[in-house]
Formats: sequence, C-alpha cells, structure tokens
Amino acid sequence: MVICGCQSGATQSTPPAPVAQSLDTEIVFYAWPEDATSVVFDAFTAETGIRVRHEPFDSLDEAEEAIEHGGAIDVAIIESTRLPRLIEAGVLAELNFSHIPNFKYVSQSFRDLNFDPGNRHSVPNSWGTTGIVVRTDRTEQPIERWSDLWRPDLAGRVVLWATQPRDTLGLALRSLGYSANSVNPAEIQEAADRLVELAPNAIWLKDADSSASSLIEGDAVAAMGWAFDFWALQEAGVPAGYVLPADGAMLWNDNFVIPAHSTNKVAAEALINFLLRPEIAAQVIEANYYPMAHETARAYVDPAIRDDPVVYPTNEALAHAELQMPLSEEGQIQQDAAWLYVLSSIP
Amino acid sequence: MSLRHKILLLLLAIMVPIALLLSSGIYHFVANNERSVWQSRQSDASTFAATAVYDFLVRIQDLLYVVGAHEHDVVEEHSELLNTYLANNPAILEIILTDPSGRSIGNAFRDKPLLGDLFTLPQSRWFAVAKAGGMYVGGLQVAADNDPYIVMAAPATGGGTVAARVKMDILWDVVGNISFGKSGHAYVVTADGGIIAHPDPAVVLAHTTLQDRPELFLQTTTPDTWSGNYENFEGIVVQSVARAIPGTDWTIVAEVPISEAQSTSRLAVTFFLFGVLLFGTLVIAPIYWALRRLVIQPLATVRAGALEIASGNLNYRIDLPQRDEIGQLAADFNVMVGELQARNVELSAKTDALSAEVIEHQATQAALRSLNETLEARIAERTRDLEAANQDLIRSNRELQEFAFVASHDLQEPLRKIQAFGDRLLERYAPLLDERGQDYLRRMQASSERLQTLIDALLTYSRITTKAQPFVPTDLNQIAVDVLADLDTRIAETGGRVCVGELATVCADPLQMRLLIQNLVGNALKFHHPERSPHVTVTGAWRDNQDVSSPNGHDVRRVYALQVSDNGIGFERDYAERIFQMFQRLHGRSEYEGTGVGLAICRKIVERHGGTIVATAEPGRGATFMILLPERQAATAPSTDEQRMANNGQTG
Repeated sequence: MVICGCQSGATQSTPPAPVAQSLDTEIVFYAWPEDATSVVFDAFTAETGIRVRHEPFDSLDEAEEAIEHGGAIDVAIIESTRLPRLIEAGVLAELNFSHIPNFKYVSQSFRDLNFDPGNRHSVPNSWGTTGIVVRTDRTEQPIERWSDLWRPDLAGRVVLWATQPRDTLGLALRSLGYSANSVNPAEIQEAADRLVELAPNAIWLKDADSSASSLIEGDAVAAMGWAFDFWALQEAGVPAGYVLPADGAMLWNDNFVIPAHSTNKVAAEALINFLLRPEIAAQVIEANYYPMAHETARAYVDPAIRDDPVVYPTNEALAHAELQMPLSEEGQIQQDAAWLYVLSSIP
Repeated sequence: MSLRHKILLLLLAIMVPIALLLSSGIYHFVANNERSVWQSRQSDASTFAATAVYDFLVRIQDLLYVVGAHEHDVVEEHSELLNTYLANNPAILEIILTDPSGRSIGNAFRDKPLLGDLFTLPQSRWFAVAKAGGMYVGGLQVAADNDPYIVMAAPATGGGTVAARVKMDILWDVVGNISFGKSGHAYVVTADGGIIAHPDPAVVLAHTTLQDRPELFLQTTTPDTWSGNYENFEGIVVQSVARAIPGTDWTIVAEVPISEAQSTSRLAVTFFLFGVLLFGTLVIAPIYWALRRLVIQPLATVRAGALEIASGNLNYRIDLPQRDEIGQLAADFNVMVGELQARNVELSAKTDALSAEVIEHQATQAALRSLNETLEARIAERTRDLEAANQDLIRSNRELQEFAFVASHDLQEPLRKIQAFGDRLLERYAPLLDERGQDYLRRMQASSERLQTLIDALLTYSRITTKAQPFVPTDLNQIAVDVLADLDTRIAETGGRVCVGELATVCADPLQMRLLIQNLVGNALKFHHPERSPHVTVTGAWRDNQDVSSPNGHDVRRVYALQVSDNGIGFERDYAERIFQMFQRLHGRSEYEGTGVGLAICRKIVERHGGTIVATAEPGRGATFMILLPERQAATAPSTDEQRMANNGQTG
C-alpha cells in the first residue's frame, strides 16, 4: 500500500527544519504591541540561529500601509478583513508550503476561506471575540447585550474605543439588529446617530492599548473589549466578567503573512512553521489569552486557560456571533464617512 | 597537409555524409515508431487513470447528492442515517449536512470531526461554492496526524450544503499502479500547480508544486490532451502525455524518461554506424594501396631531390626514369635548376643596395608612431571628461522629471479623498455648520479644485517626456482643424476669429503638436484685448537655414517655421524669456484664469522635437510666437532612458 509507506515516513513529531541551521540573520516580526508571541522567540533562535525582533504597529491602517510600502518586515500579523486588498495589490509573497509542513496542524475550519482561496498567501493564526468587559461589582442589573450600554444607569461609565472604527460602529449596528458588516447607508447612519447619542455619556480611549486601567482605577462599569482586557482585570484581582452580547458578539481572526519585499522569506517561513508546532502554539495561546486556529495545540494549553470559556467560547455561545468581513470599497467609504461624523461628536 | 592525407580525407568526405544521412533517416524512422508506441502506451495509461479518477469522484458526488436530498428533519431525527452512509463508503472520512446559514443539521465521522460548524463556515470556500449551487472539489489537505484528504461539497435540499472529507488512498493507488517501461509513471496536478497524487507519496506530502514552472501547466493550453518533451520538476528530461480529468480542474501527467523512451532508436543507429565503418574500411584500403605505389612514392623521390638542391647543391639532378606526368615533372625540374644557377650571381649584387634604403624607412616610421600615440591619449582623456559631464546631465534631468511625475501622481490620491469627503460634508452635514463654517468649506473646495488643476498641468508637463510617442509624419492642417473644433466654444464666447494658412506635414509626435497649437491658440484667445475681439493667425513655411549648429544633434539645415500671431494685450519685451518658465504669470489670477504651466509645456514640446520657440510682442498691440522645427529628427528621440522612466513612474 502506497499510503502506509508515506505515513510511516512522515510521522515525525517534529518535521526537519527546512532552513540551513546556521542562518545568522535577524528577521522582523510585525504585530500589535501587546502581542506576546515573542515569548517563544528565544527558543526559535536557540534552534535555528535566526534572531527575531518584534516591531509594533498601532493601528491596522498603519500595518497595511507598512506592508504595502516596503517597511522592513518579514512576518506580519494581519486581520482577515485586510487580506483581500493586500493580495489584490500583489504585496504579499506566495508561501512555499514545503517549508511550512506544520500547516497540517491548522484547523480545517480556517483553511481555504474566501479571504485567501487556497491559502496561497496567508496562514491563519489566532482568532477571538469582541465583547463587553464588565466590573461585576459595580452594577446590580446584569449587562447582557450591546444595547445595555445605552442604559441611563450606565451614563458616563461606559468605555469605548476612538481608534477602532469597525468594532465600535459594529457594536452599534448589532445593537440595532443589523449586521456588523452592513454597507446599507440608512443602517450605517442610524448606527452613527446612536453612537452620537451615546458619545457624551461614554469614556473614549484614544491611545491606550487596554481598557483595563479605566475599569480598575477609574469608575467605569463596562467596556467594549477583548479577552485580553478581561485577563488584565483578573490579574489585578478585581471582580470582572466577560460578556458575549446576546445581540451578537463580533469575531475576528488574524493571519501570518510575508510581505513580497521581505528579503528573508525562507527564514520567515521557518518562523511560521515553528509557531505552528503544537507545544509552541500552546505557549503563545497562554501568553496571548487568545485561541489559535490550531487543531491540536489546545491539548497542550494549561487547563485553567484551556477550559476558560472566555478564551475558548462554546459553539452555543457563538450562535449569534458574527465574523467581521472585508467591506466593498463603497461600503468602506460609507463607514468611513459615518465614523467621521461620530468622531466629530466625541467630547 | 600531405597528399596522402588529402586523399584519405576525400574518401572520408564521401563516406561520412552518406553514413550520417542514412543513419539519421533510420533513426527518425525508428524513433517515430518508438515514440508513437510509447505515446499510445502513455495515452492508454492516462486515459485509464483519468477514467478511474473520474468514476471515483462521480461516485462520491452521487453520494453527496443522495445525502443532500434528505429533508433536514429526517436527518435530525435519525442521527444514525449519516453513519450508515459512512459505513458503506470506505473512501469517506467525514460527512456533514448544513442548513443555508451553515448550521450543522447532522454529521458523521470516522475518527475526528474537522468540518465542524465553526463560525468561519460562511467564509469557507466549499460552503460558498456549494451554497451557490456548484460542485466543490478542493485541493489536497493534510490533517494533523498526516492523513491526506480532499474536501468535496455539493448543494443540498432547502438551500443547504453537504460536504465530505474524502480519503486519498484510492486515488493514490490508481495513480501509483500506473507504470510502463522501467521507470515510466503518472501523477495528478491541480489547476494551481499542486501535485496531489504521485507514486512517491513524499512528493505530495512535501507540498510539491509546479507554480514556478508555468510551462508545465499543460491543461491551460490544451483542454483535453497534450504530448511532448520537457525537463520535469525532478530535473529529468521526459516524454510526456497529459490529459484533463473530466469534471475537475485536475490533469493526469504520464511521463517516461527520454533516455528510456529512445533506447531502441539509439541502439539501431549505433549498429548501423558500426556497419558503415566496417564496410568503409574494406573499400578504402585497396584504393589507398594503389595510389601509394603509383603516385606517392615517385613524388617522394622528386621531393628528396628538391630538398638536396634547396640545401645548396645546385649541381644535383633528379634521376626518375618514369615516362608519366611525374617523370616529366622531374625532367623539367632539372632544367629549372640550371637556370637558377645563372640568376643567383646577378641577384646578390642588387640586394646590397636595397638594404640601405630599408634602414632609413624604418626610422621615419618609428617617429610617426610615437606622435600618433600622444594624440590618441589626449583624445581619450577629453572623451572621458565629456562622458562624465553627459552622465551628470542625464541623471539630473531624469530625477527632475521623475520628481514632477511622482509628486503630482502621488498628490492626486489624497486630494481626491479631500474632495470626496468635502463633498460629503457639504451634502450631509451642511445644516450642522454655521454660515462661516460653510464658507470655510466652500473655500476649501475651491482651493482643492485649484490644486487639482495645478496637478493636472504638472502631470501634463512631466508626461511630455515620460509619455512620449514616436515621431511620425503629421499633417498640421488636420491638427489645426481638430484644435479649432475643441476651441469652438471659446472662439464663440470671445467673438474671435482664427485664420489658419496652408500648413505642411512634419515629422513629429501628433499628440504633442496638438497640445502645442492648442495651448498657443488658447493663450491668444485668453489674453485678448479688452476693447477688441481677438484675431489669431496661424501660418507656416519651410526655410533653409545657413547656420547649421544644433544643440542636441538634430539636423536643422531645413526647418519648418510655424507662426501664431494675435492682436491681444501683448507683453513687455523684457518678459519674452520669462513667460516660458514654470508657474510664471504676468497677470493676476483674478484677471486671467490659468496655471502658469501652458507655455512651459509648449517650450518643452518644441525642445523635445529639437526645435526652438521665441516670442515677440508689443504691449497693447499683440504677440507672435515663432516655432522652428527641424525637417529631420534625430534618431535618438525619444530616448529609451526616458521611456524606461515613464514605466517607473507608472508603477510608483
């Protein structure tokens, strides 16, 4: 049997690294500043001799700009919503999967998506939800929906992000029962009006990288946020909760890409391959507090995190969640214009 | 070369072409037969494999349609139903039925569920294709435990979908069992170049792809079958037959190494050449023996005599009793030696006189040579200086043009955004703004429009060299007619009159000639006198030029003089040069619209054509623009350098 031969040949827990071991070079890893993937970089350097430097970006626009216009980047993490445009612009390298055999660990559910047919340019990385982080000790009435943020008893105690247009407009759209990916001008206008109505009663974050300080030190009760912020509250020892709103949490997922102008493509592929190794991926999940699009890593994760429904929400909890998708050019302009209007009303 | 060798060579020259001709004929005959035998074997094998793969896929497809036809509530009630299908189809690893939103109605799997109903489903390609009513056959996937599989999906009842993970074993067995000759084999390639089945599974599991070998994407050029030779991805030159697998975008490729495919032909030729060699030896040997006896040996005797005489013994005579041509030759030779003895004495006297003259001549030549060398060194030095200066000029010129193009090109995009958002602000949020706010906004819009005009003008200016077209015979009469048609409205508005005389056909870039005439006539209309309507005349004539010095290698002995005159406001003599500079305006913008780039463009066009443009005017009386264009254009314009930069500009 042909198949048997192949399986015994390839069943090695650690496939041989495709790169020359003596590569004495440094590559640049481009991600959000709070991304904690760097916890495994030393192990990668010890194994391959390749050093990795984490360069942070402050917004997705900035990241897209740098990838497109030739910043010195070898591996970047970028949201799926940005992939189609970057691929069409021809600024992402085609990946050589004979250098990334660990792609076999990537969940089938994340392979061959519309963002990048056939995964020619991207390898799915982490995913997660956008929900509400709550100081459970500061409110008697539970917060269960996006629309609760407009409750009179929460006036002045809700934290929103002035730097996250898609998420903030998205929550307003969801609170009205519309899709977070709406491109309908009337719906978008309605959502923008609703945010303007909330604007004077909200605390707007303009350059922070977490809502945690408003919730710990300030007197805020609820914040639009991510599992990461909730984790910061827990570490600080304050009573906190993370709510997936009944009117629909939003879902995002990130990908590894290699810019076409990278001069260290093989080393970059070696890093991606390394990060997909189950025990390495597990370390990254523990540090980032986000799940990865990974078939087997979860088994290696610390049980406290593995069984935490904030990190790994159940399918039932995600029943009403909606995946953020790329917008058409016209849709993007609609949302940009509405966002401009919202920004002008922020105190 | 000796006579002996020449004769041998002659014999070979007759034999070898005949041998080669015959052997190549034989080779082609045998090789053709051999190739068609191999091809039909490869063709049969690939047809068999394509059919087997097709049948396999059709079976899975049929199964998907059967499962998809079940009503959803039936599947939900009888959870064992899907398991039954799984049990009866060993090739299926997992099967899932979803509703139109992607929610799982039911699923069954052998060891692990991978197709699950996670939130990414609406973005999954198999789901999207099946939901749209199509049949999806995915690329090769490898699971965490190294199990290879493919995903197939089809539409299901009620707008839902049904999908399966399909084991690759059967496909791999079919492909792995194909062999012909010692090392002929087949493999399957997908439309994007991935190899999904190969006798050596490691090739597939290593994600081997032909992406960087587009010439091997055979099916893109042939919808059905293809055959030919090439070097395959393992670096072996092979004879190949490729066949599209129906119902998929896959191709089955059957390859046999060319060394094996042509072994019989090569053997045949080797045998034949050996035979020819043997035969040749048998024929050549006796001919060669006879020639040696009758010709070569007597000639050797004559040669020995000649050598003896040459060594100084003029008293020697050759003794050869033969009566044939060679014997005669020896006798004549003896007579010649006698004559030679007499001449020898006479010659030695003349030689002494000559040698004195030669020595003198050599001295003169040496002097000349050294003079020449000094001169060449100086020329080389000057040439180097000139080249360096020239390089500097070309570079700075190119940088300037690149800057203008890139700057204006890159300014467009943000400006368009400013205008778009400005429009939106005016459309939607005008009521939110007070009177002053609206005024600011309108002024901002007016400034953007002005900036847009300036950028357009700058782009036009830089395109004169970056978007240059080759020079062709251009009828200026036709150009003038087109220009007047374009300016129709303005002529009517100003109540003006434009007279065009009989113009010639010149060698030029037609688009730029049009721009030139349009700018000049447009200017004449624009700067008309407030108290009288404009009157513009355009005339032209050929002129012979005595002064033939030209700045850039154009032949200017004969030039075409094109003249545009008007009765407008004119300008001071001091400004005759300044008006051609970029952004130079003699009048305020409120008096006369414009960018201040028009005449700069005119001058650039004329200079590109190797010509000159001058303006003369009298304030209040009018202005005349005189353009001189050379009859023959230098072969170098537009330079390739500039063309290349034009391309860079576009991608930047």
